[in-house]
Order: sequence, then C-alpha cells, then structure tokens
Amino acid sequence: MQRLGPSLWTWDSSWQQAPATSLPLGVQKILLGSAFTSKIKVVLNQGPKKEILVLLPLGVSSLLNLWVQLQGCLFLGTFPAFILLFYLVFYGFLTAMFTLTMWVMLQTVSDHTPKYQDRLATPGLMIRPKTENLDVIVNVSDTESWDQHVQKLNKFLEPYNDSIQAQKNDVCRPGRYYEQPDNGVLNYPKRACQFNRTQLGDCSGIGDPTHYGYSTGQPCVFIKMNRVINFYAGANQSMNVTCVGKRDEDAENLGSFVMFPANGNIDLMYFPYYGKKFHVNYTQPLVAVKFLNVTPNVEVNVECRINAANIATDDERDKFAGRVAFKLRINKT
Amino acid sequence: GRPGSGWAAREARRDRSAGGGAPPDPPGDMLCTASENLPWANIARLLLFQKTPEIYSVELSGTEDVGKTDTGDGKEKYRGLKDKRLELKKNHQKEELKKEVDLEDHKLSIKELERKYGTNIVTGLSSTQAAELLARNGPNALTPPKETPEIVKFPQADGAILCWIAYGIQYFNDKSSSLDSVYLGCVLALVVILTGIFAYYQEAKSTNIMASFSKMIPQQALVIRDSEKKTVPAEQLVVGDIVEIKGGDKIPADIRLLSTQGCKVDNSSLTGNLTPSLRTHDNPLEAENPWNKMSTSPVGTATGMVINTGDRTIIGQIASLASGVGHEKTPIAIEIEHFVHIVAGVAVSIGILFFIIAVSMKYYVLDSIIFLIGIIVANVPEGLLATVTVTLSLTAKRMAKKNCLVKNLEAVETLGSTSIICSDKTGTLTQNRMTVAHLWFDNQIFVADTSEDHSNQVFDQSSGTWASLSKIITLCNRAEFRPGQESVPIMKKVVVGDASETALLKFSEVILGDVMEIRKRNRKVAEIPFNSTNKFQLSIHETDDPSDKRFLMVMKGAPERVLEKCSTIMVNGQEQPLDDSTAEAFHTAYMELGGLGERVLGFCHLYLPADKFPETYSFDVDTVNFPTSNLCFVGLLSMIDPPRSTVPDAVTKCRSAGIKVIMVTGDHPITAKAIAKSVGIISANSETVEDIAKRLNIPVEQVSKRDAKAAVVTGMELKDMSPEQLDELLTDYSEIVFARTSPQQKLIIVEGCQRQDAVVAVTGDGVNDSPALKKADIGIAMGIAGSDAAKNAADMVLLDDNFASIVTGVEEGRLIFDNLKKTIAYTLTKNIAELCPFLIYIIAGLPLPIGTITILFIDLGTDIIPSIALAYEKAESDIMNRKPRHKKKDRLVNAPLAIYSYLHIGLMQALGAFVVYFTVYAQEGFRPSALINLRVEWEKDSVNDLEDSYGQEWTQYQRKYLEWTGYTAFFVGIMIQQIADLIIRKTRRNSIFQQGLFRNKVIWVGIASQIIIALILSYGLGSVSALNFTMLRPQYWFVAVPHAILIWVYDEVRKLFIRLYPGSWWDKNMYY
Repeated sequence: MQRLGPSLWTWDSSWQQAPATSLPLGVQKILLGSAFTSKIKVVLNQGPKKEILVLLPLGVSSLLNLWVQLQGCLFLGTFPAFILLFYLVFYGFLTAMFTLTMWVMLQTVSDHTPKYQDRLATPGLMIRPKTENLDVIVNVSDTESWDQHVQKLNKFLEPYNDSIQAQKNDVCRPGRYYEQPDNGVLNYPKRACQFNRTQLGDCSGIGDPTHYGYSTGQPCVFIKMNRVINFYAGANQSMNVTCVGKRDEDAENLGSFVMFPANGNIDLMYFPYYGKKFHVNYTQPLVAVKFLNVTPNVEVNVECRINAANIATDDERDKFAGRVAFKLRINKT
Repeated sequence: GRPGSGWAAREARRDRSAGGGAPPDPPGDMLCTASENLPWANIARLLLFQKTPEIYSVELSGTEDVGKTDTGDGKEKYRGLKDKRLELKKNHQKEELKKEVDLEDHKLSIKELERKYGTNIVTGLSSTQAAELLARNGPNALTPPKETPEIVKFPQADGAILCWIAYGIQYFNDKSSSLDSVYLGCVLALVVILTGIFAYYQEAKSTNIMASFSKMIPQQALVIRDSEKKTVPAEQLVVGDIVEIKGGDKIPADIRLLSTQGCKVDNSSLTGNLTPSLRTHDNPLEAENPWNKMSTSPVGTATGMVINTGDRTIIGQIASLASGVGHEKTPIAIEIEHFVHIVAGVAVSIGILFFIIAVSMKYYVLDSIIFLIGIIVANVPEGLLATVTVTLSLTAKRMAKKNCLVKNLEAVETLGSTSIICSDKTGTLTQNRMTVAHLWFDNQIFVADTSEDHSNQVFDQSSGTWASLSKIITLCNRAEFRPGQESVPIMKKVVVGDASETALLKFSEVILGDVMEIRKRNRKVAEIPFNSTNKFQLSIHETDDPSDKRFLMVMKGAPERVLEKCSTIMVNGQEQPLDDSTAEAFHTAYMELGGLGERVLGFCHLYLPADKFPETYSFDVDTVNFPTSNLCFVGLLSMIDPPRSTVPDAVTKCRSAGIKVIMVTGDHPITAKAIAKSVGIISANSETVEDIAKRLNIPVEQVSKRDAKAAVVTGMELKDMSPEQLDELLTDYSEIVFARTSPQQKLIIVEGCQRQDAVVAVTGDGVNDSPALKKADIGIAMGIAGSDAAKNAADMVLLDDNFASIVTGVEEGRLIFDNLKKTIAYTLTKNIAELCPFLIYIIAGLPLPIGTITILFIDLGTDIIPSIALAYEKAESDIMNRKPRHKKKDRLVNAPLAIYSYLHIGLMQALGAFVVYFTVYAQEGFRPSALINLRVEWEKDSVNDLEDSYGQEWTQYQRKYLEWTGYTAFFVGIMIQQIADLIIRKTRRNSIFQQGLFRNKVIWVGIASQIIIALILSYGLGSVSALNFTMLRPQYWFVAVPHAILIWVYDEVRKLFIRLYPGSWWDKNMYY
C-alpha cells in the first residue's frame, strides 16, 4: 500500500452534483454513485481485476461523508495511529462484551445465599491454633515456640469474650435450632446465639498464667466446624466431638484429655448459619481439648471427629470431612 | 553421445567415495536447528521435540550441513555455473562412463561371448548354473531407493523421555506435590509415541500404495535354459541367459543381440529419443548392439544374451546416480519448520517473560518452572502432527483417485505452489500415437478428426480420389492388429507395426471398416518394404473386382520422392497430367502441412496393364521387373501426435492460475511449436522473434526482443547459452518451448527456473530424466510410459500420463495449503484461551482456571477430528485464479494469521471461557472479586476452612473439586467456542453462506465428535480423579454460546470487509 496522505486524494469536491465520482487511489478506483437515491452505489475498481458493487441502505449525505472518510481510513490507514485506534475500539468492545456477560451472570447469583452448595454437604473440621502443617509443637522451655500460638489464640478468642457476646448476641434456648425464617420479607440482620469464652473452662485463657496450658506442656487445641449456610447440623439430635490417637501407639502416647464444653458437645442452637451478610455477628461454636499428659518428645497423631447424625466422617477423598487430623508434640528437656 | 548421464555418473561416484554418498540425515534434527537459534530453549526443545513430525525432518541438519554446502563439495558442485568448468567436466565424464560401463561386448564375436559368459547360445544356461549366478549376483531388479530404517523413525521418543525425566525430578524434589505432573509426563510421552506411530503408519501406508503399484505389472521373460524355452520372471534373469524378445516386449536386461528378425528398438527411455532408431554409434548407449534393459521393442523378434543384470545394467547405473542428486527441502516442510519456529518463539518468549514475572513476584523458582512448562504446553499444538499427516494423506488418496499417485506425502502441497511446469510433449501433452491429421487430395486440404476416438470424420468422402487414396492407405501398409481384440474399440487395439503405419491402419479401419478383409480381397503379390534409402514403400495387389484382371501397384513414401515417380495426378477421380500448376499446388500443400509440424506422406498408384502383366506374372522385388515411374499421384496425408483433448483446457487453467508452462521435448522445433500452439502453451496471438522477422520481412537480429512473448529454443542453442542468458530467456519470455533437447538439458532448464525462485514441476519418463526429476521441486513421472528409474526418482506418478491430471494436482495442492492454513488457524486460536488462564493465574492469583492435562484433552481430544475435518473443505471460488504462492513471501503461517488467531479470535475465546469459569465459581460461592489473590491460601493443603464470599468455609478437597469443575467449565467454554471457530475457518474470504454451511459434512461430524468427547469426559469420566474432570451442570454448557456467536459474527464482518475492499488496509492485515 502506498502511503497516500489525504492531500493526495484527487477527488472531486463536487461529487454530490455528479452522477458518479471516481476516487483514484493508486491502482484502485472507487466510484460513488448518486448520493440522492435511497441507495448508494459504491463501485470499487481495483485495476482490471475486481469490481464490486455494494448497495448501502443509507440516504443521508452527511452520513455518506462519514462513510467516505471511513473508507479513506480503510484504504489509507497505514499509520500506526489507525492500528492503535482499531485495537482500542476492538478491545474496548471486547471488554464491554465481557463486562456485560459477567454482569448478566452475576444477576443470577444472590447476595445472601450461594446458588449451589452441593460441594459443602459435609462440613469440614479445623483446629486452632492454625499452623502451617497442622502440627502443634510446644517446646515447654522455649517460650518463643508457643508464644505465637498463644498470640493467635488470644486474637481468635477475642470475639468470644463474654462482654462482647452479651452486647451483641442473644441468649438462646439450648438443644434446638435457632431458626429465623424470612417469611416472605427479608429479615436481616439475623440474630446469633451467644458462645461465651467462659464456656471453654480451663481453655478460655482468661486469667490463665499457663497460657492455655502451653507453658506447662498441657496445651489446649480448639476444634471448630466449618460454617455452611442453612445447614442443620446434627439433624435435630445432639452432637459432640471426640478425639482419639490415630494408631494404637498414638492412643497410648496421647494420654488423657478434657473437653470444654463438657463431652465436646456442640449445641444445636448455633445452627443454621445464614451467611456472612445476614448473620453478621454469628459466633461459631468451639470445642476445646486440653491434653493433660501427652508423652513428651514423641509425635502424636490425633484425630478428632464430630459425631452427628447427618455428617459423614468416612469420606475417602476428603480427609477433613467431619474430622480433623493433626500432630501434637510436646518437647520437654 | 549423451554426456549428461556421464557426468551424473561421476558425480554420484564422487559422492560415494566421499563417504557413502549423501547419508540420510537423522530425522528429528530440524528441531535442533530451531532451538540452536534460541539458546535458552532447552525446555522448549523438550516439549517441541516430540512435535517434530518425522516426515518434516528434512535434509538440513544444523550447522554441519550448512558448512557442507558452504564448502561446496559434493553434490552442490555440479551446479558449478562456470561455463568452462562444466564443459570440461562433461567431456571428462563422458570418458569415465565409457570406462565404467563394460560394453566391449558388442564388438566380441558370438564364440568369444559364449566363452566369456560360460553359456551356449543354443542350449542356454543350465538351471543349476542360473541358480548359482542368481545367488551370486542377486536378482535382476533395481535396488529400490534406500528406506529409512524403522527404528530411526521414532526419534521423538528421546524428547518424551527427557520430558518425563524433568517431571520426575520435579516430583522427587517435592514429594508432597500432587501426582499431576507425573500424569502429565505420562500423557505427553504417550502422545509422542502415538503420534510417532501414527505418522509412521500413514507414511508406510502411502509407501505401500506405491509398492503395490510397482508390483502390478510383473515382467516375464522368455529364456532358454536347459535347451528349453521357459517363461521366468524377469527378476530371475542372470548373466549369460539367452532371451527371446518379441515385438512390444520390454527388454528385461542389458542384452547383446545374437539374431534379429526385422526388429527395431525404442531406446527413448534411455536416450530421450522418441522414434525407434537404428543406431550406429561408438557410444554404447547409442550403438545398435547391445540393447539396454527397459527399452521396448515395438516390432519384430530377436534373440540376445544377457550381459548385465540388475543395478549393473546401464539403466541401473543411471538410476542409482539419480539418487546422488540432492533433493531440495519441500516447501511444506519449510513452512512447517517456519510454523514451529513461530510457535516455539511465542511459547518460549511468553514462558520466559512470565518466568521472570513469577520470580520477581516472589514465587518459588520450582513453581515458576512449572508455570513455564504449563505455558509452553498450552502453546504447543500437540495434535497438529497427526492432523497434518492425515490431511496430506487424505489428499494423496483423493489425488490417487484422479490418477495422481503421490509417493511423497509432502509433494502434495508442493504441486500446489508450483509456478513453472516443465512438461514433456510426447504422451503428456499429446496422445502418444501418430494420428492422421490432414489429407490433401483434389487440390484441397481436409482436416481429419484427431480426437481420442476419431469418431467424427467429416471430410468429403464422395470423391473418386478418396476411393483410390483409401485403397492405397489400406493396402500399402504392413501393420496389423494383434489377433483376439474383437471387443476392443479400434483406437485402443494393439497394433504390430510402426507408429505411422499404425496411424494409417486405425484411420482406415475407422473409416472403411474391416481393413483385414479388404486386404484379403486384394491379395498382395509383391512388396518392397520401406527403407531409408528408397524412402518409399510399395506393394502390388490383385484387385477385388473379379472382372478387372489388372494388378494394382500402390506406393507411399516421402512426398517429394513419390512425386518424382509420378507423371499424372488424380483430381476428382480423373487422372490428369501432372503439370507445373498442379506441382505448385502440391508443394504449397506439402509446405503447409509440414509447417504444422506434421509428418507428411505421399500416396500414388498404378494399374499395371493386364496385357503386360498377366495374372500369372511373377513379380521380383530384387530385380524390380515392373515399372516404378509414371505413376498416378493420388494425395498427401499428414500425421501428427495430436494433443490430448483435455490439455488445452488444462493449459488455460494453468495460465489463469499464474503457472508458466514450458514445453521441453526432444522433437523437431516445428512440431514442438505446432503442438505448443495447438494446446495453448504458445497462445494464439503471441509470436516468436522468428515469426516477427518473417512477418515484417526483416532479419531476425533486427527484431526487438521485447515484442516477442514466445520463444522456441533448441537444444543446440541452449548448449551455447550461459546460465545468465538462460535466466534472461526464462524471465523475458512468458511462453517458451525447448525443442531437440536432451534429458540432461532438462536438468539445466530446471536449475535455471529454480534460480528464479520458482517452484518447478517436471514431468519425465526416461531414465535419463531422473536427475531432473530429482532436482525439480516436484518430479512427476509417467505411469504408463515411465521407466522404473523415473518413477523412483519422482515424487508423483501420473497414472494416465495426462497433463490435465497435473492441473488437478495443482488444485488439490493449493487446496491443501489453504486447508492447512485453516487447520493451523483453528489450532492456534485456542492456544490463547489455554495460555491466558496461566497468565491470569500468575498475575491475579486466581485459582488455576485450566489444568495442563485438561489442555491436552482439548489439543488431542476434542480438537483433533474437527481440524482433520477442515481437510475436507472444498476450495474457495478463487483457488485457481490466484498467482502461485511465492515460496518466500506467502507463508503458511503469516503475520495476519497469527495475529488474527491469537489477538482476535483467541482473545475472544479466552474471555468467553473465563465467563464460564467465573460463573461456576460465583454460583458455588466464590464471587469474582473474592478470587483475586486467593491462589496461595487456595492451594495450601493445611487450610481446610477457607472462607468464600458468603462466609462458608471450604476444606482443601472441596476446593480442589471446585477447581476441577472450573477446569471442566473452562474446557467446555473453549470447546463451545471452538465450534464457532471451526465454522468460521471453513472460509478465509467468502462468507460461510456462500461456501455452504452444510456442504462439508465432515465438519459436522467434527462438531458432533467435539461435543460427544466433551460429554464423555465430563459425565463419563467425571469420577476419575486423575483426569481432573467433573460432572458439569447442564446450563454451564451454554454460557459461552453468546461469545461463540460473537466470534462468528465478527468473522463474517471481517470477511465482508475483505471482499468489499480488496487491497485495502483491512485486506492486508486481516486476510490470512
């Protein structure tokens, strides 16, 4: 394509009067038919080879002017600015298209509850303190080794302080679900039930010089069950968490432990969960396990699982469905 | 002499002495070349190595070879353009060939021969002797060209193993890492092996077609052994065998003639001469005795002794030399290599770029390497090798149906890019049989029908002259139909006799009916056969009129000789004295017919008076006791080997396709020019320099060369030309005919054309053509007339010897190039959709949208059949109206193709697939905003309570499953849009609706296969965790549909603008 500046367009400015005007561009020739018919004839003549007739349903001469300009660009757009412009428009259009489809898609998703929950049929279990490889290692003599756990736990348990609970949450009737149906009108924020830190007894860490037992080699590990919206855990029957050593030797090394609340019970009143947006102050129930005499300097594999009527804990693939396995090691010199 | 074969001989011997000739380069090296250019491409090499289609691993292997060519030893040398050197070499080599070929045998006496070969010309060899010799010297067959050993055909395995090791190392470095990488390694290895087997299988299949073809005509020889005549396969002939040759037989080996009966031999396949010649020459190739294998004997019978068999025959020697001529890399191989470079370049540079980004974003180096591998896998079109092979072999099959047998798959495309065809005349452009074209009697020229079946003879047959002429034609003819061909159409009957007589026999049979019956009624009483001193043939017959007791003497021969013997001429059935004006008319007609390049024969007769020659008269042809002068001249008849009826049309097609057709023939320039004119190689309104000179009546030197479009160049002129002059000739004239050329000059012409950057197709049938066939970009051998050597050297065999088949081939070749372009565009498009997820994953930290194994399932699963289906796409309307593609400018993968595929459609596809991905995550609880920078937490095994947008908590496995669902969704998104991509790729210029949405049914099979495979993967194998597929909700299959429609609409708009504004900015940048 030769570089033809617009100034080289030797086209007749009186084309509107002429029945047909030719626009010579190098070897090409455009013939514009009468602009005053309802259809514009654009005859494109490229050397002896091609001649294409286009009929455009345009009638306004100003539009035609624009059209001719555009054509000029199509033929003459050798400068990078045109290419840039093209990609700008093209990608702008693509972005708009993408945004539109994403917007349409997001309309199908509710703010409050996810559309599908099939993956979360069985809630998982998890421990606190949260560590990189799910192992709780305590060097009794080395304060630093457990101090980070303690810091994490302090932070984790802060919302459970009785004062905060009393201020924000209701006292519910234990042993039954705390349902707050919408009944046709959106009813939110929904109320949550109190879970007071004091319920955790020796593991509450309140006024505890042993720092959840970490300084004495009797650590507390907190078990929590994953939140799943509208999940009625336990199917109206009481449920509790139990912990065992994974293998026989683990069971021996594990020694004895106590659980808070007693028996590792989780009350039904903390269910169902209505989601982050509705259930603003929801407080997740916890079970604390205090290991009293773990054989020191041995790695102990502990597995805790929930005993609930509607939570299967034997999923082959998901090792955390209704259960949690972690390592416990108390190093004493 | 035939110096060319001599120097070719020397050249090949030099090759051999230089270390086993040109050793076949190990396949697979092409990629080395690729990666040597990119020193940092080690990993790319691992992955791309397996991409190396064996069939594309072509001659040039790395720097070593480059060096070789640079130093210019070996085969390059014979191209030595220095005139003198060439000349010198030629002379030198001629002598060498003589030395090399032990052909003193024709000078030995029979006794000496018997002693030399331990045989007896009466009893022949004994069977035991023969068996012994056979065991010692091997069968009498040409060694087929060296096949690559099968083990070498699987070099890709190396690449796979390296690849696997890399994954292995990664696995052992980090045992907790998932098994995914190992699976991937396995899958890649499997892919490599399968595609290797597949390519090998395809290649083997097409080789088999060729093999079966050559076995179709087993040659038999009649040999005397143990004093008995036996028919044995020609392969079992040994030196010393006494063989008998009948008319029409192929000479099975080099033989020394012992006795003959009127036997002539057609050595055209050896020397390029077209007429049977009785040769007297010092050069063994030209000498009358011995005869060479592969020559055919059109008439008579002969006995001879085998003096050379198999590769030791002259033919065998020349054939083995042909393999010494280097074969150029095929254009498609170059294109594929170029394509691999592009893909490797894109893959490796993006890979490296993101490796750097990943490292600087504080990813672990090991992770970054995995990203790198992922990016490269996403970029490499794994299935392309299989696709290309299938496409090529499909076309090869299609061409075989149209009588083009393709030996070398890649040659299919080469034919399509052909810009010059150097065609033989005889047999290719013409029907390869003399046919009566014109008659002259009653002072008038009549045109005979020369079409293939002669059905429409329209000239005036009522004249008395015609009655006499037809009688002479019928009677003065020794040719006969071979018995037992009653049901065969006349034109196809086999005739014993030479070409002219055959022509006359068939001509008269068509017009008059049963010629043999007429001859029976006019019993022949005496005959003088044609010989080169007399230049006439004469016979005396009884007439079929019982009341007429006169003898009829008929004569035919060279017109001037015949006229000399005449005193009268027959006009309108009446004898008239032959005066000056009639003689003048005769000369005008003779010159006119001769000027048409036709072979003219004169016919005359004489009724011998019954009183002088009674019924009992005994004619003696030795003493000639009858008058041979004062005859009555009846007419002239001219013959030509007429063009095939399909050829003019085919030449026109070549013209409009921008292909230059050059005729190269051994024939006389006038004949060559006449045929060239009649088939359109020289168009009706163009003139040669000589024509202009004649028209303007000025000397040839004064004619401006620019005025002439056509040129007829003889071999003699060509000999004196320097390469520069030849180049000039080839560029200056658009219509060129080379006449009186030797097959060796063909090679010079081919090289001249190749210097113009043209892709040259050469047709040939003779053994001496094989160097030219090898040298050409595509050598085309004749299936019927071609010698085995020519067929071996050629890339393609025309089963019907018909030029028109070449044009069909060109069309198919262009179609395959177009369709490959479409296939590659189709394949490349999804690369972006496979690549973007990795980029987004690295930069924005989304959970990985698509896994490498899933990518492989697209590349090797859903996309394979559709991309093959594009090979079935019909041509777009302009396919034969374009210029042939320029070898260096019009690439298979050009910038517009890459940009349009990557940056337009590919990007749209990526966006569409992301919509599906985001939909799945959002509807499960992770809104798009929550996904950003989620990667680290998402992938941690210890995090089993990851919170989603709704406050729900997810275990690691629950997330993993969701991730797989995401893979499946992304996969389905790409698949759905690939359907649109497939449809838009049907055409490059025309609208889909012009092309017909449903014309190519295979496309729909492809679409169906895509959907079915995806359904099976999702619903059937969704539970196999290693495959990372899950069952996808039905509605997710439709999420990408709007984007698919957008792709279609966008492409229609693109094509519309291309059609509206040819040559515009848009056309240049958007037409691939």
